[in-house]
Amino acid sequence: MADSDPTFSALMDLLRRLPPTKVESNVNTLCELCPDYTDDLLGNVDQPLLVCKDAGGGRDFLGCDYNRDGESFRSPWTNSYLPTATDGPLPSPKLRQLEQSLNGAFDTYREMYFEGGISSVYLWDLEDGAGAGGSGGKEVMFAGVVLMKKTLTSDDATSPSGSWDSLHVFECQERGRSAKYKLTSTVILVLNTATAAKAEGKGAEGAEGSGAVTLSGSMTRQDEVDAPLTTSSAHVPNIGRMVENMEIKMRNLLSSVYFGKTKDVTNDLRSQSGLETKSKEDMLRAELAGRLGQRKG
Amino acid sequence: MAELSSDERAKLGAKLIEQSPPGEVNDVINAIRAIVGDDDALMVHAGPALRAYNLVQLTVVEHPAREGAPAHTSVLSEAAILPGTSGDGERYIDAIGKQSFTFDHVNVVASDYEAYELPEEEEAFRAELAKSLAAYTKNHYPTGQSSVNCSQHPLLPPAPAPEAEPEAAPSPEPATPQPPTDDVIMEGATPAKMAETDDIVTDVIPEQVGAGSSEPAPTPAVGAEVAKTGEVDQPGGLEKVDEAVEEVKQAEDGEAPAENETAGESDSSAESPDGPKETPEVDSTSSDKTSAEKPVERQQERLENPIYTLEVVGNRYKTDAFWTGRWRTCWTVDKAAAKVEGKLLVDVHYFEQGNVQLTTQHKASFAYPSEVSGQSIASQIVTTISKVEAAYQMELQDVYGDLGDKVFRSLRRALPVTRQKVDWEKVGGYSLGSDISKARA
Repeated sequence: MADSDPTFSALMDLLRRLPPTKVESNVNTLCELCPDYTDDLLGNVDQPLLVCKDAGGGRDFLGCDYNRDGESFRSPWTNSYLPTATDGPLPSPKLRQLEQSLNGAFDTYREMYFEGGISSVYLWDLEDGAGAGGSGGKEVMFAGVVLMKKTLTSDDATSPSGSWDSLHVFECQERGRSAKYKLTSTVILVLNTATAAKAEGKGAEGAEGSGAVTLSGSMTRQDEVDAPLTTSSAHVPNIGRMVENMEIKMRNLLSSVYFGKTKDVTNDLRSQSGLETKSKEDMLRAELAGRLGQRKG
Repeated sequence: MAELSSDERAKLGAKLIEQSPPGEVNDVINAIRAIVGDDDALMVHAGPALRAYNLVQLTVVEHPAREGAPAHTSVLSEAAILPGTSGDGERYIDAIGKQSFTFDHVNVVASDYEAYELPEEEEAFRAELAKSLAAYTKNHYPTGQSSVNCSQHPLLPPAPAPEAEPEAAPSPEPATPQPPTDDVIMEGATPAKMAETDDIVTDVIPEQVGAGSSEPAPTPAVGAEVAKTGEVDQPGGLEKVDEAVEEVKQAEDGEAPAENETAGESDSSAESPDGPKETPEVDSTSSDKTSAEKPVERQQERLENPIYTLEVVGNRYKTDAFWTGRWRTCWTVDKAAAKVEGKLLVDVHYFEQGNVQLTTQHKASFAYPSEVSGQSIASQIVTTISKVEAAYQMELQDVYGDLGDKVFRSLRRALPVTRQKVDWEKVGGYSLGSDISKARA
């Protein structure tokens, strides 16, 4: 759907403003309001990944719009749609092999960075390919998504909890001995914890305090990478490095926004030291600066 | 799936309004308008939704300067609702200006000011709390606005003045432009609805003549909205009534004065002021009229244990730097329960290539202070409030540290334990890749 569509623009604008913690119910509401845009909404709005059970492979996998067919999701471990088998799309045998390699590689990556959680990689063939370039019909195009999810549940109401969901959607175009990758990465990060501040000191006996803090949201970044492709198996390190670099970059970004930016704004809203103290300090500083200036002169 | 009706769609869309991040309610409404595509249907549901939003979010209302009172602000909230008013007749307290007003939640305009006076005892305590809270707010909230309201019923206003000269004050009723922190919503979006609102607003004025012991605010029409409002024929009639005190007294003694042409007939029917009124405009304000026009039944209501509510809101909107923020605090002083209870709420929205929101809510309480020499009760309460809020802000800093260091790290490490990036050439499962080359060959 074109971005110039005013209804679609309004839907996306709204979802950029409404609380990230309510994105699932809000997307449902908007699908109800605009049934014609259901596919556009589900395809363009990043929602927390679903954890699916693969009874056959015995391993959990992640579900999103890219491996969904109706109510079922394709497992990267068994390549079948669950819980109800459907004749949803499957990658070509060649691509399925690459998909299995990537799932193996990113499983290791997940263990190294997340020390738990679930990962899934899905690939699908893109139709184009043959026509472009014309280099003997050898041009290959495919796309895929690398998914990571880790959840920390708290044992009780006062200890912190959180979740990380990352979606790395990419498109690959092979050009002879190199490949061009276009990447769009989204990380959905939710952190919760409790507060207990209360009045202290004389006269504040029996004072109580309890509360909750939620930091939630998602950030999206894009990148383009050209990498050599000596054999088709080189896709694994190419995609691996690209996703790894992007996740490192985004982790830093999330850290600065979640723990830096929102903290700064909070301290802009309320001045802990008090504005009187602050303005006295400013005046003192200005006075000192003035005197120093006079000396120089 | 059955198609939703226009009304159902408007209802669904309007529900989203209350989720608006700080300072973005207009953007949210505009998006909903584009999605719903039926302003008339939307308005029916947007009004109540905006009322709820304005009360919960402590929307700041600016009040123009009047004789003897400089321009000032008040904060909308549940606690600011004038006791005994509701529905179309709902009024809000401006305790600083000693007046109450009606509020157009859609266009964010206050109008139809009337005098508001608390009994002496309550006003003394309220004013002392307000003074302390204002000083504290000024010192700790760079953009903060505070209000202190008391749930006590206000003193009954003097009965309507027997005479009103509609021509006397041709100025429109005092209506304030939107505070700078929020923009006027849906400019001219629904002229039909607005016209209706105008009727309501202007019609109330005749009563105000009588009820108001306050000075009229000779506010000139500011902006198109106000001009529109003012033009609807109403002669304003906000003339001074100071000199009419005597007549007022007479009126209080019994005679329901037929003080103006528009509502004259209905005034005489003491039975049910709602009944005989034919025009819809009059009906819509009947709840106000009820109190003002039944001098016979007037009786000062009184609460045994009024609650004092202290509220502070600090807003900062830096949309060009992609963030907005709001800090709200609401404390209720309940002397009978010997308790002061507070709610602190912080909301931050950061939206550069993303949508990140901080939402916090915190409840705290402490005992109603006892008399000590040297510091008044009111001052003690605000001092303790400032201590709790300082402790809370301090704790928030720790929370950031904890979440950043511990939780964030245990979700995903910055680097693997080896402190080296993944060696993708050797990663497990990669050997499968060699099969791919074969398959392609």
